[in-house]
Amino acid sequence: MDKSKHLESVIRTHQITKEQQLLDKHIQKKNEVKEALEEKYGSNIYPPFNSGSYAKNTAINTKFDFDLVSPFKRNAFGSNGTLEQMYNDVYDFLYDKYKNEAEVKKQKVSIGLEFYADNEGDVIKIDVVPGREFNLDQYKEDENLNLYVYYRYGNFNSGSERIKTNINAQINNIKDRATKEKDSIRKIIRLLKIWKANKGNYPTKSFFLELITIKTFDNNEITGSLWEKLKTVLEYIRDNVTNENFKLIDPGNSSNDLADTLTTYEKQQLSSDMKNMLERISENEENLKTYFPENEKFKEKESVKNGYGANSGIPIPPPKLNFG
Amino acid sequence: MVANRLREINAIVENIPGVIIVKQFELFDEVTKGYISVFTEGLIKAIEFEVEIYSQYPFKWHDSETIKFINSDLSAYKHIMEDGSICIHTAHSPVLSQKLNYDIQAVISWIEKYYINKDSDHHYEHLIVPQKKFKDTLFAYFFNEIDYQFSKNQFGYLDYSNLSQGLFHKEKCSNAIIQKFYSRDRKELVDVKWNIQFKALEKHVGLFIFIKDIPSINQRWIYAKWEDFVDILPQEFLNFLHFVEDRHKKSNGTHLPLFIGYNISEAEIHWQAIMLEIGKFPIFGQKINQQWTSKLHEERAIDWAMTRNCSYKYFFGRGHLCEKITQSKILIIGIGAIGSIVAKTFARSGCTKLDFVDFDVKEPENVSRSEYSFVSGLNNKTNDLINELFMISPFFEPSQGGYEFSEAFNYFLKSNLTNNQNKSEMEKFINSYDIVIDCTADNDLLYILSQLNMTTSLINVSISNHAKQLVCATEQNRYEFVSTQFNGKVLEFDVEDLYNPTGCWSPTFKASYNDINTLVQFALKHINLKFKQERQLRNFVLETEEEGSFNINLKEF
Amino acid sequence: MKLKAEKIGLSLEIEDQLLNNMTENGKIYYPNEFGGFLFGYYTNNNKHLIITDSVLPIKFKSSRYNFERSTEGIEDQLYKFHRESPSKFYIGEWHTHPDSNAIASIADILAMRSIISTPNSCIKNPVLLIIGDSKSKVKFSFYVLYNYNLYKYE
Repeated sequence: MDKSKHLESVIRTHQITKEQQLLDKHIQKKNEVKEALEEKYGSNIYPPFNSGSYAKNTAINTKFDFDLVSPFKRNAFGSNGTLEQMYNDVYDFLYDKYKNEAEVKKQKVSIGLEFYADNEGDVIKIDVVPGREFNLDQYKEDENLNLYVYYRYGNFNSGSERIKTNINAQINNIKDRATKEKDSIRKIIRLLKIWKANKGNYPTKSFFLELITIKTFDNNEITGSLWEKLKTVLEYIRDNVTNENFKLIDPGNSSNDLADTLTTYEKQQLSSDMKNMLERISENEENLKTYFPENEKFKEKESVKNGYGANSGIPIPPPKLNFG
Repeated sequence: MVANRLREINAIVENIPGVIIVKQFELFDEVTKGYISVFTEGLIKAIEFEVEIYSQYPFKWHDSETIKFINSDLSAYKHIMEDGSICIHTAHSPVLSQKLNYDIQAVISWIEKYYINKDSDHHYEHLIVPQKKFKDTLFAYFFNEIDYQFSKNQFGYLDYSNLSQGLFHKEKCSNAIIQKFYSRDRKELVDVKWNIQFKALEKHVGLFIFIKDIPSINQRWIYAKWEDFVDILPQEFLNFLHFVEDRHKKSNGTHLPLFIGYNISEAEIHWQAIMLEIGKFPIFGQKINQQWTSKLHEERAIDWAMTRNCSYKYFFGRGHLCEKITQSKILIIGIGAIGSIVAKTFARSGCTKLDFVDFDVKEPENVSRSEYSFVSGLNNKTNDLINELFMISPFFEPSQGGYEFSEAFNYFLKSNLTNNQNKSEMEKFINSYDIVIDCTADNDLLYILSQLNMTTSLINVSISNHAKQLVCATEQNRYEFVSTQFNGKVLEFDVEDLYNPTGCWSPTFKASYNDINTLVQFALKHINLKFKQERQLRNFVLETEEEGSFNINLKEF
Repeated sequence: MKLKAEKIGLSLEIEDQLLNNMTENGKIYYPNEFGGFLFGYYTNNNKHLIITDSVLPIKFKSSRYNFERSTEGIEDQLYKFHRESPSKFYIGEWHTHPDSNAIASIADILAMRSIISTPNSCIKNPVLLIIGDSKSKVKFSFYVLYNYNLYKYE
């Protein structure tokens, strides 16, 4: 088995363009929500924009995440308005508007909209991330935003903490890399997201995986095949994530350490998952498929190209065969 | 030989510090008897013991030491047996001198702890109830915790049901459970919880009184004669006894148990049973101030029966799986070799809410490596296993089960996947369980379950041929994981040598009860540990090694 | 008849006459199983299989639940078919399930897997035809082995 070939196929079968219809539905819905927010908040809001994996070009087609960042003006909720007020106001608005067609949930820093399956069975999910500029009209200059933390994650306490961040800086973090390196980074990020999606409800954020992948590239000479590059990243996570002084600085806010989004136990689990994965794959490379499966939906149509197995020479039936 | 042993015993005992032989050891009917006095610091006067040494000594007999230190004056102290002997358990030694030293040391420790310091152990110790036959049979009654607060001297009726006849050593022993308490005017007070099979047993009448305080003078020995009860049992209750006996006089000669309840802690009630015989109740009528009044036959001995507290905490007190598992509602799909072992292990380890799905019929050839019995012949596996578990655990409460449930389940699952609404119904059903264990080795089912959106812990367990490996899938990618493991390129096992009894429609893997159970128990232990530690349960494989010595390697994914 | 294994995009076709012949051959040995070799060729970029012939084994053992054929004498047939135009070759196996359904058993799957693990067999996707012959009706199931799994043609 050629591990890199398999990984390439994993990425190919997870390409977002393979789900064009679903992607279109997401884009359409995102625009709808964006317009609704702009209509509701008028001059109190800057244009909401998409910051999810689609914007970063690291999306996979088994789990669409569309993050709609909604930057509010400093005084949008009164000159003494709190971040909590902002968060709740946006939640109330979205809840009223969509309660009949979607599940509206309060999430860590966002409000989740999960639209009920349409008649084709497709489910569209959009996360709205309300943020507020630091000072009046400052957003236009520095694009910095304060987010409200609805409930505790990692070492951030609910309600009390606010995360300052520059989301456009986060998006550009990958875009600004050299083309060749950028491709490898994106591939590995996609693979890690496929791995994470496979694990179900995994506590590590995609953003965390993005940053740690980039950090591995910053700290190591990354060469070789796709598998070798991936392996280097996996080993880096295994060896570093539990270190006491391990930090993952948010490019949108240098005082924001993504390492804090995981608890000590979650970091241990992440490290031991990497360790197990590397061991199992080195014992038997077939196990790679368990961690990085192809998207069945698009796999077999591709393999049709091969057709019935090619023959070299005249096929000879095996001498003794026993049927039931 | 015998003379040597006697001489040796005398010589050894004589040399133990603090011990004086009052009367030399001699042999009487194979029992070596002698008198010693033991002195230790803190005593004013040495304590004398009659010592009996049996022929098995220094070895134990039926779990008891074969040496006794008797002084009937000590019976009010802790850890004194019915015959006045000290209850000791000492270290094993095959060497007479060493064992004698251990045992006398134990006597000295007892004196220091319980005679001089009057220590009372922290845990409550049950009263000593003499074990006596009533007529020619021993009676044992099992009770359970109840959610009811009795007031002092509250009395009334109760129902009990006979469970089985056993043998207690050489005596017949009749076993029964308490079913329900009624007030004196026969209003239902509280139902005692047992599994529904036990609840359905035929009921018989008994009586109870809750006296609140422990029926003992020295907190060690239960009352021996009815005179001990004179100041305890209220006149009203004696009148009630008379009334009951009168009403049942047609059944003269039959027994009727009376349960005496008392608190052994603030929250815990203990019940002792007294065997009464209709026609021979320990009461008589006496005319006082022109009125007949019931009085106790004070001189009569009380016929105590045996009781056991079988509430959940004692029943599973010696060991159980972690609470996260035992408190769960569990569904086991597929109860062949693996599934039935999992089910029985759960039932014995404290789980009570267990449902099963399987539409197979148990065949005699299934018995050798599963948890079924031969005696029930051809029988649906579900019905058969439910019966097995009813016999094991009084707390087993299947909510769904039996063959028809299994048929419906399979149809439901396999024919509805494409319909979105039904899919959510399936999800709702599966998610009504906390843990679902799939032991079917059915790839269709594995696939279908992997398509559902589940909050429940779904665990898929399968074993390869010759029980070479056990594959346990616990994560969302279970379908891909199991398929990859068994696709022929990962796990190495023999795919040719299958057991093919009469054709090959359903060849099955070859492995014995021992082969399978070893792996299943190992897997359950791992699963239990992860639940207990509140850690993530990852997919895992158990690989066995048989070169040289047997080994199991756990590989987490 | 023409059939397709949708999931993997492979198809096959076979003349009804040939199917009838095999069914009749099977009936001779009723209630025991019987079977043989399938020959044919691939077209349309190896995506489509045309089954043209069945060759019966010279030696075999069978019972109600079991069928084991030998390859004695098969070599001549291999060359004969190979020289025809279009050139035909060994592409799979068939056997009957008397009084039963036409579903592949575990033994059948294992047999198919052992074809691809035999060094000279040269075919990667052997086809299996099972004729389920009960009194009321005859059923045909075609399978192909692909990535170690059997896929059914519908």
